[in-house]
Amino acid sequence: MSLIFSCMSALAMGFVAGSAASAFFIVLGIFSKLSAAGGLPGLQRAYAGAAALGVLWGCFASLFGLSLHAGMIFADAASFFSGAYIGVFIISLAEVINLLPLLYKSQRRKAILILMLLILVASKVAGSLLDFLGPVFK
Amino acid sequence: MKWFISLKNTYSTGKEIVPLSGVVTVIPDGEEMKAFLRETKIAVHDIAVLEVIDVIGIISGRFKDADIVSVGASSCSILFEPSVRVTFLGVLKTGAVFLILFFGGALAIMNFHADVNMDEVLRSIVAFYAGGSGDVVWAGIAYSAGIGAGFLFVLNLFKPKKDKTPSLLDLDLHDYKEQKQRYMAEKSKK
Repeated sequence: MSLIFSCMSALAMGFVAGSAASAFFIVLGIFSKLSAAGGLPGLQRAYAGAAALGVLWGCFASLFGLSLHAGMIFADAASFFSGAYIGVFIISLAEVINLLPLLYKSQRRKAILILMLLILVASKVAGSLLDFLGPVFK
Repeated sequence: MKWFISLKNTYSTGKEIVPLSGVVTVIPDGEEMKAFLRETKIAVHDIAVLEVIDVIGIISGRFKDADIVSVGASSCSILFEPSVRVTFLGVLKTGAVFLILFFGGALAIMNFHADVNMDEVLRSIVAFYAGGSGDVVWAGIAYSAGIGAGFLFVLNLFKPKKDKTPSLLDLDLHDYKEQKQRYMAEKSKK
């Protein structure tokens, strides 16, 4: 009986977390932005399904302590795509809070705006490298 | 004779030649008018913006005594969307998008679990209901199933075909498509 209660509580928590995660993806416009970047049309629902599968994958990886032992190449590939997601996330967030129109108002020349965005990207990459590689060179 | 014309706001087509009947509705639509609208073609290269005044000009050029009243949009953006060819690069980009979403989704939920110390929360739940330090595996499985259900609920991924209610995803994609069409129409006017 106690197992049923704890499972029901966990199911309800998961339901809320899953709803919040999907709403979060949608509010930031991650699906629409990435579907525009993809080469093949009409896959928006499949993209949403991939994100849902990824979230479940993340659940199993973080809650059950599983290990695939697939090798560093897979870990590096997963890290690369996770980093790409963070990049998409940051730009989506910047768009939601209207950072780009604000930058455009202050710098009306498009070339300068692009340069500012490139500096933003470079600073993110440099910051991340510094964060992870800093201790290596200490 | 009085004619009421209604011009659509936007019109997407896969063909470079669009009949006028595709973008405008005329009432009363007699046989002669129907044939005229079908035969009158508009050439679309990338995007074409058709003003209602042009449509009135075209119709009154043919029907001299027409008294035309517009009840629709003042202009129609006709977008030419050619069918997409499946290329190697396109497949590669689509694959990359799938991987970004898959690993991004995993990263987002793992970050969330780390932030809220979800393992500890599940342990507390099991301890509360089962007492002691019970195994959290079943609670973890139920939690994961809940996450999947939550996703399905919000995204409405497997909705029945009869259900016409749009999901959040449908609305987001619709907004994006409208913004894109508006941008292209405004850009073509400049």
